[in-house]
Amino acid sequence: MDVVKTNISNIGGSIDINSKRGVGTTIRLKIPLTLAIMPALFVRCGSEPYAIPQNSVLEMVRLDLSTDSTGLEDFYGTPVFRLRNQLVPILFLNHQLEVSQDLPADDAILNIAILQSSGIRFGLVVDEVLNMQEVVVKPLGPLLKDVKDFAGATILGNGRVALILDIDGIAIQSGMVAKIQSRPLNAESIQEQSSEEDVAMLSFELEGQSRLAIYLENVERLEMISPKQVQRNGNRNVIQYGKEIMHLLYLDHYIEGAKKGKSSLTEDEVIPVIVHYNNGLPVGLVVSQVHDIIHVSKNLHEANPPQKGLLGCVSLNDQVINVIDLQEILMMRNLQENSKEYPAVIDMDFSQ
Amino acid sequence: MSVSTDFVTFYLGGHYFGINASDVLELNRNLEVTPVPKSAETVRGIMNLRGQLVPAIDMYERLSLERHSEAAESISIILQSDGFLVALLVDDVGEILSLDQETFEPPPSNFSVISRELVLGVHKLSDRLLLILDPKLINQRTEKAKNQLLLS
Repeated sequence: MDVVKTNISNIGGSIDINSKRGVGTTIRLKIPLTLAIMPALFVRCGSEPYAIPQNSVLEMVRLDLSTDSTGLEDFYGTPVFRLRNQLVPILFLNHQLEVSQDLPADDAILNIAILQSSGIRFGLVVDEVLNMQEVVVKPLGPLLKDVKDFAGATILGNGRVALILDIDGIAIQSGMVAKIQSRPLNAESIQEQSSEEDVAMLSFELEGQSRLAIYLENVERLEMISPKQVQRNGNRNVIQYGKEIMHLLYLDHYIEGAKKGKSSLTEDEVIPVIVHYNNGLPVGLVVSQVHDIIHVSKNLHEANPPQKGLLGCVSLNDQVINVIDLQEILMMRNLQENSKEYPAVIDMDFSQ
Repeated sequence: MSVSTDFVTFYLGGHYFGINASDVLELNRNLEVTPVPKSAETVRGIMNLRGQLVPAIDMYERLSLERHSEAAESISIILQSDGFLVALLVDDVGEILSLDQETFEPPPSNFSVISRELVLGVHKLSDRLLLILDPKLINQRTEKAKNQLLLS
């Protein structure tokens, strides 16, 4: 116990012990967050990489100013852009860090990280989105604690140091929090309505089926894979996914109305994959294209008669969107696997 | 009776400085410095010293010296200052000198304020003067921040 106490106090933590005879003992270890490991998104600004704590990242948006009809707009001196009909204020990371004062060109493509901080949602424009990585947070020390933009730093695999952004600090320092709180961008009622009645889905398309959607809660991540990564495992196509093997599931084989097997895939094409975790194992749902996150009414119109692989449909802006039945699709896949017959549905092999 | 002390000496912009060797942990060469935007001028950035983050102090800025050459200082002196590690970026390091108290003299009163608070005194060597720096003060906030504190 003494060794534990010494070591915990060395790193700035504490131990509380609460013991009652006949009841039990509670030992509470407090370890400072600065030593915690957390997932972070790496972005580039100027020539340096910076990490954004993942718990404040809502989504990433790529905004092409040359094709976007509205682009960046000005709302009482704050640049904003439209994200699914909601105005989102944006900050430029290079301005915030005083790295440069460049404004994007009219036809630039902006990489925007949508972040949540101090109750407001805002977009942070970065030069490039790098990767996701777990980082060990290290404190910056007394000399640099005045810089409110950073929560700490971390040491990368190559020995370099990367700074971790303090999203709250940046939002407050920019003065945006106060501005937005005094003049809400989006009427409150709309937001409330959307949270109660609506459900978030990810829309995507397959060959021949242009508008499909999957419940967002079933989506873990989105990946772009190259056909070169696809390997065979028995009659299955798999790819190496982190430390795990991810099975690929070609959705077009399971859904009524979808054209099966888009054949000629060239080497440099990429396959969009929706990663879903089924019983703790990753399954990659192969689609033709991923569109957007949509908010639609919870009430599904059931498909009658039942359609293979589809749960029902919803309407959005006068368009019908079919919601896929992930459970049924996963079941169909397993059935096919257990039967000894040669499967009626054959997963396509890209290597040929 | 005289007590002798060891000093690590280094060169910076033509000046010859010394620092008490008992505060110095190590000397290092070519550590990569990651700049920290919006930090004080005196902090060049942070560096990775075997998994530990160490702020790198731009000694030219800290001592308000004029930079004569464009070449960046490549040698860092890692020392314990006020309980924390800091790295001083210097032009070159000299030998370790063992000096007696006899040659020591407090700084003259016409020194600039910044230098006077950092420089403990001067050792008169046979051929030149050695300025002794106070390691505790190096880690402290910049002059600007201090002035702001005074004002508020």
